[in-house]
Amino acid sequence: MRSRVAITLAASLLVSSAGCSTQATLAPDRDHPVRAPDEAFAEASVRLYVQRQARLLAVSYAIRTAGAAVCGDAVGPILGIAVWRSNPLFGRAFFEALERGYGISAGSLAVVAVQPGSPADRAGIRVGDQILAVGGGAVHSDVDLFDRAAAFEAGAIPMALLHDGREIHASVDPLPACRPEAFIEIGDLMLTDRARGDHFYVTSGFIRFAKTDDELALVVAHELAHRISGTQVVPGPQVEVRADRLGLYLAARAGYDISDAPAFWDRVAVEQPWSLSDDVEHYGWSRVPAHGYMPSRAAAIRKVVAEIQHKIEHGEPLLPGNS
Amino acid sequence: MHRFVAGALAISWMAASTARSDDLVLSEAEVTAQRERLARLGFALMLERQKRLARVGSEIRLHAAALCDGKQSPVTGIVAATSAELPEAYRETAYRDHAVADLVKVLWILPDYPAAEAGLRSGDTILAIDGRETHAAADLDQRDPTDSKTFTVLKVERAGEIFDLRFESRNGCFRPAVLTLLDDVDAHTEGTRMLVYSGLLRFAESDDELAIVLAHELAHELLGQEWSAETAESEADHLGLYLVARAGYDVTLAPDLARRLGAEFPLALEQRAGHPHPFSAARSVALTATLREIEEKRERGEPLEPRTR
Repeated sequence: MRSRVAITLAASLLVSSAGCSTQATLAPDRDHPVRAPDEAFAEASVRLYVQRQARLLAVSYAIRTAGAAVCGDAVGPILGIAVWRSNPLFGRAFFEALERGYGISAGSLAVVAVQPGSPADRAGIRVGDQILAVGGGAVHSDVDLFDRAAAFEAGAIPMALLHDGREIHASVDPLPACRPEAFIEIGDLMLTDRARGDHFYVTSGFIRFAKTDDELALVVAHELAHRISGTQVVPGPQVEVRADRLGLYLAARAGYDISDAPAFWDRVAVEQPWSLSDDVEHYGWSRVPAHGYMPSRAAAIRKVVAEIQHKIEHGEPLLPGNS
Repeated sequence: MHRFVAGALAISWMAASTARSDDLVLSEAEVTAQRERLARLGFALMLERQKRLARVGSEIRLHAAALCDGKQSPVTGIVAATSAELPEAYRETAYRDHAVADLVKVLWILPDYPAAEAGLRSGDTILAIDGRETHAAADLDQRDPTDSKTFTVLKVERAGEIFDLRFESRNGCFRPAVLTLLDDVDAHTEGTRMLVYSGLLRFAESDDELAIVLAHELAHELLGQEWSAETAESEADHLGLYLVARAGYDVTLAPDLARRLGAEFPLALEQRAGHPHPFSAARSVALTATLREIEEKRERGEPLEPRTR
């Protein structure tokens, strides 16, 4: 028998918590006694999701805009929004709570977070707005949306949105930034490298693991560096080391404190024994990358952090590469 | 800038053809030093988690023993390992720092448990239990549940000397939970053995929270249920909370733990299409009633007996 304790426990015990706190409203409503605990759970879940979207957006926005000068060819206009990404596995209760709380329907391409001061914010785009068209063409998915925006080269980007039920038009000023967009993938594994084309994902589990924004910046910058370097490379320790080097520069350029990077990646390494040595025998499952890159990364991270700190102390520009 | 210089800066562990002129140069010695340092850290974390799982799991199993006739196995309170039971990354450090090799090496013993009181120590090698040779730490949990012996005999090697240690046997529900070194927030049961993932130990911040999780899973196993049925959930809720309370852990943390879990995994709660909705008025009422029932029994000084089917 296989039972998933996390799932059943949450399902079984949440009702009591919500039941306790909402007993007064629950008791008289004999026709819908189940709704309140259900809704309370879903609302908490939506709140956490939206908070994490906003947090990932803030960190990735800072890194991508500050990194434009070191992103080579991978530069394009940034919008400064995160969009709702429908996934049937969220479930009905989640969708309903999203609609109640943010006016976002599950099937729509809607804004769940706007970075303050970003081009989208200055163009008047708000949470809950539904995106219809970007750069003159209709958009059908989040990837589609960001690809169209990034490819737009003729000045301000025209966008059509549904705002409070009526269509509005916005003109988003182009601000150059590193192009790859960051998305959240719901999942508890500390894997990030689920890249699709130009974009990358960070799992909700990794966002939870990164306790501070300085830590989250290390994860985002490392993955961004991978996307900038391109995917047409043979995996290996040197590929990881390159992403660490560029990633640390990206995080530092955005003003994040990288001094705890060695300790943070140590924390990651000890959660993943397969990152220390090739161990197909023990972890030979398809979902676990059985590769031992972390020792090389740990050595490199220490060197690069020292290199960057030296440059900061001496007022030198934070540019990676031979120096 | 991305000039390929075959071999020039190549490091022994990388493919020479992929080297670039601006790559960092890392010596094999410094990479090896990091590997050893990280393995030591990782092994220490694994051991801390095994100790925690043994401490909480043993208490839950012991206090559930009376409800678990015919499905018991020894609660030794011993955390031990053989090299083969460890991930490859930790074998060298386990051997160097703790002498873990082919035989069962004791890494830690729960204080106040009979094995500790009988004098078993960390670093001892266990050669046999009750006359049976041991080849893996898991062999310490194997015992015929109908065996009525009230003591356990370990054949132990310490500093070249071989001797017997004898201590009172304790039995608990099922077999000890095993730590699985994957970062999922998950636990499941294979046969009579519960596998608990590192990710779950990280998520359940206190021992009380860990106890709630382990007891809920154990309750399902005790009831012999598939977990999806709604009545099964209600029964497991009821029994699980009793198991937590009997072991002396704080049942009142359950709602908050569940709220955190539920918020993290909306998809997991909803993905069982065709099964009863996990939330229901009946279950809500039953669970609240169980928490109140436990509190009242405690106030009256009554034994914490769950209702049986």
